[in-house]
Amino acid sequence: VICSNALGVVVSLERETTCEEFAKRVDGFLDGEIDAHAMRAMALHAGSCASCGGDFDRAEALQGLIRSTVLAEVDRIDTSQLWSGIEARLEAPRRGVLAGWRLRGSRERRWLSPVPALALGGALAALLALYAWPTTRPTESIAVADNHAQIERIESTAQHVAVWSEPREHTTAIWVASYEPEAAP
Amino acid sequence: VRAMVPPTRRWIVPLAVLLCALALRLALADEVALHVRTVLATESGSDFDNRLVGLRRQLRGLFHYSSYRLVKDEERHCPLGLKNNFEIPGGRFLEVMPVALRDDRVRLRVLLIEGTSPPPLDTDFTVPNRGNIWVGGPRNPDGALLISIGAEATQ
Repeated sequence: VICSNALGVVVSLERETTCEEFAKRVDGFLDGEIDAHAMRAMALHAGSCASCGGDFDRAEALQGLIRSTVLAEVDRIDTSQLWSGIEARLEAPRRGVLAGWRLRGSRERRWLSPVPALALGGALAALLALYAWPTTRPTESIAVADNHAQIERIESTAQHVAVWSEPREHTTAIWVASYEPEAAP
Repeated sequence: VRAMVPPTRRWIVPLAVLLCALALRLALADEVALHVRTVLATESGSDFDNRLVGLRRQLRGLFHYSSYRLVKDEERHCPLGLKNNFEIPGGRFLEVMPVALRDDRVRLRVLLIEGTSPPPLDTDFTVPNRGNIWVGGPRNPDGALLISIGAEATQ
């Protein structure tokens, strides 16, 4: 703290930083994490103490080296395939029914309001409910006697493409590879 | 009563009923259970993974490898028209989309994706409901990968 006394003489009340304090706070000083007064005191000490100044210079050089090494490594990372990899894992979004209704709301309000909305809504709901009524379907899992697949289209960039089936259940196999299907019939 | 209800709120109740009916319809939409099993087949040893017992006849009938081990088994329920990506060992993906259910058969569109190169397989086919098909060939350091794609209508 610097202030002037009644006679106008500038007096420094700031306590000088010791080597021990410098060593304790040098990391915060390097990273700029200490307050301005402490920064100033540390800088003054580093400038006046050859030993602490030398330690600080070495620490600063090391920090610079680490930073440049990390940045160089980061620059070497190939991120060109990153998005395609993420995109391949993404599933198509489910259709937002409510969002769609909300968007269309203002447009529909124009033609819905003049008509007897209660009757129209009720009739539509009844029709949809009837359409959506569950029907009985078999869900039990049983083995299929004839498991043959009907292939409608095959496109491949592989060098070897083969399709065959086994004789019992006619299960089908599609072979796509850059090598011969050595262990296939 | 009609006169007491503000005109703008008159159709809120039927709209709510309509939305419920729509939600019910979506919930009951045709759904397919997709079952993708990835098997590592090698010509060393004679191990047969116990988890593949139900597929033993198919594997023995279709391929001549000496050892089979299940490396991935995944089942998903999804509505028709929705693409599903199944991760296959070795940085590959199998994109399976159930397209239609007809005459107790499930129509599927399948793409095998390896990196950013054109897909080694892009195919449309039908399998019987609760049936399956095998896709083989992708290399693995220890052998070849055989992928069973099964489909079952659940609604």
